[in-house]
Amino acid sequence: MRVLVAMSGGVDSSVAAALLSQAGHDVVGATMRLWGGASDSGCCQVTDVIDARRVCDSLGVEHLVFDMTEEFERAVVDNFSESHQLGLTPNPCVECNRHLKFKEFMTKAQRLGFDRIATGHHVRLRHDTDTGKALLLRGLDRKKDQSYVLSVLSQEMLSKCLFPIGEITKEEVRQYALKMDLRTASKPDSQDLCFVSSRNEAAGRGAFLKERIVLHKATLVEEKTNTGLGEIEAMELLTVGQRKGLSFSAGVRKYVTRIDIQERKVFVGSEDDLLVDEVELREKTFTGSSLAVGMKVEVQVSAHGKERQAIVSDKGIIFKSKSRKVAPGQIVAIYDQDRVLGSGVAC
Amino acid sequence: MKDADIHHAFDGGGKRIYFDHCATTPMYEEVKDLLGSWLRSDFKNPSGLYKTSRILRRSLDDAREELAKEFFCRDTDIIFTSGGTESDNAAIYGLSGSRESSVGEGLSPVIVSGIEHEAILRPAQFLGASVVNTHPNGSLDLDHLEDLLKLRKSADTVLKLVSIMAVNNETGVIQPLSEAADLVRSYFPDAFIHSDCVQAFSSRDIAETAALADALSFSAHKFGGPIGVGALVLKKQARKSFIPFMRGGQQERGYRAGTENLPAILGMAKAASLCATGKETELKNLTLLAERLLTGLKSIDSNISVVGRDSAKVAHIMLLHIPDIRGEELCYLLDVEGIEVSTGSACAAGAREPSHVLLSMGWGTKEAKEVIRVSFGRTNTEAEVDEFLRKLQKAVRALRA
Repeated sequence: MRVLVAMSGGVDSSVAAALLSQAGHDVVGATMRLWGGASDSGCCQVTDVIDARRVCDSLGVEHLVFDMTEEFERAVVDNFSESHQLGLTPNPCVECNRHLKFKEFMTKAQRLGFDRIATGHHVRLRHDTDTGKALLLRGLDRKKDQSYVLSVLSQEMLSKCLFPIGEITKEEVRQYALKMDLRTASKPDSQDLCFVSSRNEAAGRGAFLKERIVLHKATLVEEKTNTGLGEIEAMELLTVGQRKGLSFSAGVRKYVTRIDIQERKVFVGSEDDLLVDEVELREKTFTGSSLAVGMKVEVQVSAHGKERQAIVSDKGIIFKSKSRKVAPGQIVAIYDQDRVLGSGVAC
Repeated sequence: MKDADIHHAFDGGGKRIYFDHCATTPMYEEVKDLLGSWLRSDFKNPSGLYKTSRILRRSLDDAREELAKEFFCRDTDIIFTSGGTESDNAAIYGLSGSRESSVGEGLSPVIVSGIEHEAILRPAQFLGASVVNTHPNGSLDLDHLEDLLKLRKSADTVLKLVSIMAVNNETGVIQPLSEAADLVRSYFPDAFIHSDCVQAFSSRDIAETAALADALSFSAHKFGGPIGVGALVLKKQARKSFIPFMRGGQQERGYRAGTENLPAILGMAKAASLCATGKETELKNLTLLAERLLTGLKSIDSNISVVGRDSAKVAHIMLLHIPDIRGEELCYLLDVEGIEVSTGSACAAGAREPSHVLLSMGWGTKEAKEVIRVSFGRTNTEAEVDEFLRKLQKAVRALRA
């Protein structure tokens, strides 16, 4: 098959390209230039592009670079900023997968005559012989599993993908890269939020958003008693469930329970005040068919979070036992054991 | 990669169709022979005091005289450089006065057109230069140039340098240099006019340009010479004000230090003379090829248009706008088919960026990414144009599917 491998310049996608090439596929590597758009001060990670190109050189396959900065700016960065403006907690990595890798990149690959695209994500694909559908499973290496950020993929997208890395552990990926003498073998794992360049992500995120959205002061309100507790800066940078960054007298632990952007109020309470029975979901997507109400599932509400037992409801999902509130805007990935069934955005 | 692999990649050169002569041109066989024999010899430093050095020195001076004929200047006007980019940088930094006086408050003493090569634009922008707007037809906006001149006149500030290229390397549009020079000199008789002739030399007769500019840039590999060598022509008055960019030894009379790249310089002189001799016939042939291409394009897709087609332009450089098709994708498919064309300029990562020339002509970024540049050279044939048209049709169909 002709396979276009999305190569970030990291070890996972390097090995993905190597494995596919070795398996006899007609492989071409491609790096998306994502950041470096109008609002960036520097260029993209040129050294990462060089890594990807040199890995391709050593594999004897072609390497292409696509300029996708505008698409990235629109679908990921603008969405990130706008979500924060609305007091939501966005998932930029999920949006990047949904709009860039598995849409723009995929359609580009099809136009250029490729049969499949491949990435270095730690997930597995299986073919359901009964339905003829592609099934998306968690990666073999549970610690490195990336199925959460791919939970928004549709059946149509999945049918055109290959994920060779999900079949082996991260340790094996590195060993393979060393054996193949790939220059990315010892490269550290990439961080989230590639476009916010700061070692301290929290501070970097604030500085990044400050230039793009209007940050407002808000009144801190005790959730239970509805009493004012003073003022807080930049309510748009807060997230439901957050404790850090809220200044209270020593020993008092309070969490953000709710953010009311309209009223400019940030509600806080104890950890117990965060517990809820259910979560309403919007923008639901399914990897196969839609889910029946009452179905027993597991849900995961962050990239490497623990799964929680739940039941599908007409509005979203109901937790089996009271569970910590999901920040509005977060993706809720729905599983049946290892299999990804779909996702929704927490309301 | 082993040398053998590299040679293997180029063995297929005969089968591949090269339509990217604006990027670089194949060297003349005579130039290859000349370079080969020089590189195999044990040459000396031309600045040496011994007989063998003096022979080399004489070759250098002969080459300078030979080039002076082709560049329509005096041999003493020629300063050898490492290529077009160095010549352009040297002109901008060297003729804009001291750097201190250039950067800072007030109106810049430098004006450049918005469609200059990055080798002019970047140093000019670094110095805070004013940039002349571009007409949608691809030529610089003389009215805006006059506005910029008036502004300086009324503010009683100096103007040191105006740089306007002769032929644009992306669109082939010939710039109204003569009108621009008249304008500049009517306001500022002492300002220098520099013209980047890197694309122009092989594309048209440069006698007029050479006569009216105080400084000109050339690059050998754009006219069948070797890569890594070029020239900056500085007329006497410009030379007097020139602040050298590369300092060191007294080579090039102190205007450009560094041991002369003699084999490359001799190759450039040879190429310039071959190019000039064959130019008239060559350009006629290339114009015929361009006409053949344009006729063929009409039958492929009536939406394909040539950028700047209503302007005075050289025929064999064609920036084709193909609506709703990304240039980088089309280039890839053509490359797979063995056809070499270009699109936009590359960023540091190798991604294609929208052309600043098109953006300055008022194009949107989407449309600016829907172009490929086709540029013909002396080795191209009618059969290649026909083959290109077939492959282009196939690729456009695949991308539109």
